[in-house]
Amino acid sequence: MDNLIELILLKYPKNATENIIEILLQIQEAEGFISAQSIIMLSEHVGVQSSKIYSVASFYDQFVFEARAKFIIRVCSGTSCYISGSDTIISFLEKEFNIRIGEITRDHVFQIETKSCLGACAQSPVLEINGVFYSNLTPQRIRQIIHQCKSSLQ
Amino acid sequence: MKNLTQNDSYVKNILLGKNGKNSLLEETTSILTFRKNSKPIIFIGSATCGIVAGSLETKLTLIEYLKERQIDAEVVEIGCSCPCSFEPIVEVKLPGKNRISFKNITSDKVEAVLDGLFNNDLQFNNVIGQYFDELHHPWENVINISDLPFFSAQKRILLKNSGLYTPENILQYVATGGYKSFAKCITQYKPQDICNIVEESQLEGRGGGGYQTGRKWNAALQIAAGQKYLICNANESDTGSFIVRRLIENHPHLLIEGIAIASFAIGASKAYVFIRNDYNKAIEVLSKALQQAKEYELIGSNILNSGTNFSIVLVQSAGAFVCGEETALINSIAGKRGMPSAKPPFPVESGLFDFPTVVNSAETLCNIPSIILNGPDWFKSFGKLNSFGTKLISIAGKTKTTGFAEIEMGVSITEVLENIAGFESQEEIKALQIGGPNGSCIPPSLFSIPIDYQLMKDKEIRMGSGGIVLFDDTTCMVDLAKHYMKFIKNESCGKCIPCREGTRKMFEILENITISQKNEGGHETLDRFKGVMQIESLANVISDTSLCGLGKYSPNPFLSTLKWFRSEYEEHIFDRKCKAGVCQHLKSYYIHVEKCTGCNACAVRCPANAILGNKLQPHFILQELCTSCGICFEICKFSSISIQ
Ligand SMILES: Cc1cc2nc3c(=O)[nH]c(=O)nc-3n(C[C@H](O)[C@H](O)[C@H](O)COP(=O)(O)O)c2cc1C
Ligand code: SF4
Ligand code: FES
Repeated sequence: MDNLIELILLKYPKNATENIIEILLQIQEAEGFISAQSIIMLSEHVGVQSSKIYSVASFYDQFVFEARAKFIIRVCSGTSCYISGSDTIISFLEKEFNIRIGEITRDHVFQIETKSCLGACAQSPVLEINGVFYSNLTPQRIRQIIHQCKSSLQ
Repeated sequence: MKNLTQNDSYVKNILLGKNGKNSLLEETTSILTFRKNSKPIIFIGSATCGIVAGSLETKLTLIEYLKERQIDAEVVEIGCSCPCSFEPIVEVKLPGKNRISFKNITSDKVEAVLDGLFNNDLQFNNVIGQYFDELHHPWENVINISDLPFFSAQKRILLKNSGLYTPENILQYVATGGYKSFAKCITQYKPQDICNIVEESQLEGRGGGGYQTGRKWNAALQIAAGQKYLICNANESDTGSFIVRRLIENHPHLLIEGIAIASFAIGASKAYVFIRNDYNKAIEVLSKALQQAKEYELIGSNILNSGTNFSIVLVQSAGAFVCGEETALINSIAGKRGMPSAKPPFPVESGLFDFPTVVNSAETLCNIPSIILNGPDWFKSFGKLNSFGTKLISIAGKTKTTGFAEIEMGVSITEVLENIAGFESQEEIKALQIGGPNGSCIPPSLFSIPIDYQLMKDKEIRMGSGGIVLFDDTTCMVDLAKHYMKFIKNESCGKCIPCREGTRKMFEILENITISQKNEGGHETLDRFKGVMQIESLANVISDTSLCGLGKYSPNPFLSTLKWFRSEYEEHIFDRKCKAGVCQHLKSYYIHVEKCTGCNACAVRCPANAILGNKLQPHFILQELCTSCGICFEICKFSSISIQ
């Protein structure tokens, strides 16, 4: 893991604070979350105290500091999706996995989150799983999508 | 494609205008713009809207189709032509024929549609129309695409080439007149000239503030500093709007050109694009376009031998709404917490890393190239009232046609709804929200209002970014206000106490209206009523004391829904009813005696033990105990439970 972070850091000039957020985003993409170790390494690279980096990172909801599930299902709860029934989708997923929003399934495979608007309002309601968008969300279709995710693990 | 050196000379020849009449250049331009093709070209919409609708699968099926039948055709990815509900869109240009456009081509329809096309037996129900072109043969009985109301009601300047070409392809952009304006600026104009042209055009910032762009630029130009920055604001986090996303996915080079001109005009050698990290497709397209602009030396040092140096850095934002506010944005780029700072000093005086900085929205910057090329008077010829030019809008929510459009300033909302959203009558529309959570809710009685910054301001309507969401009678306006308040409460950065605590309080009061405690005495109703009165005065305090627009305009969704839909609030407060059937807690559940089989399933699952009855006898619900959770309604297999 440390190597991975080193590789990310190498892409950015030293002591340049303008890249902190982008680097954090990349670390999160590579590691799945922001570890304490990665904050220390980043702090040395950009020359900013690690406590300051933590304070910046914790400001943005985007960043998480604990390991996350393999598939993060983000249901859009923005206005257009909200009025088109995103709540029903959320409760369907909650029942399907027997977890609440924000929680992770016991096998660490799925996690449900909401996002205020994914910018795909033309096809509301939508959800996104690891960067891929889905629309036309009938219960059957959602089950099919979940199934696809599961089978991609094998 | 030819190799880079040839293409490179094509770009330079076109931009520096040394070509005179050059048949080789013209030939290249015809090929690049698909006016001349020797084999069929199949275009597939590949912007986010297309992808969400399934264009990736369609593309695979298309390629498979061509391979199986050994048809030699080119497959080209295009952006989107913007009626998003038509996606996946597939277009075909057969040699010598007009380009024809098809809608909703999911992978299962590929075969039927292409079979029809190649065998001269068109599937008319999927045809959108054809692009007329004097050089080619038209399709019979197919409408001209620009005659469709969706397109004819628009004035497409920024979007003039939407969905026609591959967005990141720099050669196609140059072949259609792109980068000419930038070349003109750096070879013929001084920065002062450009600032003056933009000021004369009276272009108003499209990011919501409506501040005149030329004035801001002139102010920045006058300040002497070793370093200046230009920042393109592409944060777009207001819910229900997708303007910037579509703009960048379709026109990355237009944005780069606008940024390049703006930077040159204010004397900035470095520009930043601050873009939401969730917008992966837009980031991908913009990165590719930036790479190409670098390869063709339109970004870099000594651009087109003019001695101008200039670079663009793409910064991904971590997606907080408040980071769209310019000072918060600047703090975020500098690697700090994305909180607004007090103004003055304004960013123009002391912005990023304390240097003079101009922040402009992506849409504003995309207006620049054509203003420079055609002059301020040309720009001012668009716009029916006080505001000039055009405005991009996005339409979503309860509508048949969702989409992205460019309309002339001064066009009324009614015209937008009829022509672009495709409503024959407005009866089905209950209201619409423009400008996201900080914007305003507009009832049908105001739909005649023109899209114009000044006129809307006079009516206390905030256009914001121009994202429109439509509501019908399945939307509860109190619940909607609560939805917006929840968003704002979560997005408040917490710096100002009135914003942080006030928005939370407003949310609680709204929530209180939409839930019910069983066995209420009279005072709860009074409390709810007092709550609403309290919000009205709370709203003034928040507006007056908040540092940034997020707090200042945070009461808008509540105040505007209360103003126009007061009766709905009263119904919730006094009658404890939600006509739209949205507010879960205000629903009452009843069992139909005739339908109930007495299976007992509901009684077992009711968490409040509110259902009584003997097995195989009709059951009933004790209203005093019922919490309106709706579980019985969901599990009853005999549909014997009804909601009132
Ligand atoms: C809470 C808040 C969010 C904002 N979000 C955006 C945004 O996403 N995009 C944008 O261009 N402007 C946004 N603005 C407006 C910017 O502060 C700024 O006025 C604008 O970028 C200036 O560019 P313009 O003059 O070209 O409109 C926001 C303002 C506030 C208060
Ligand atoms: S008004 Fe709200 S969002 Fe804006 S600075 Fe103050 S607390 Fe932050
Ligand atoms: S509201 Fe869901 S994508 Fe915008």
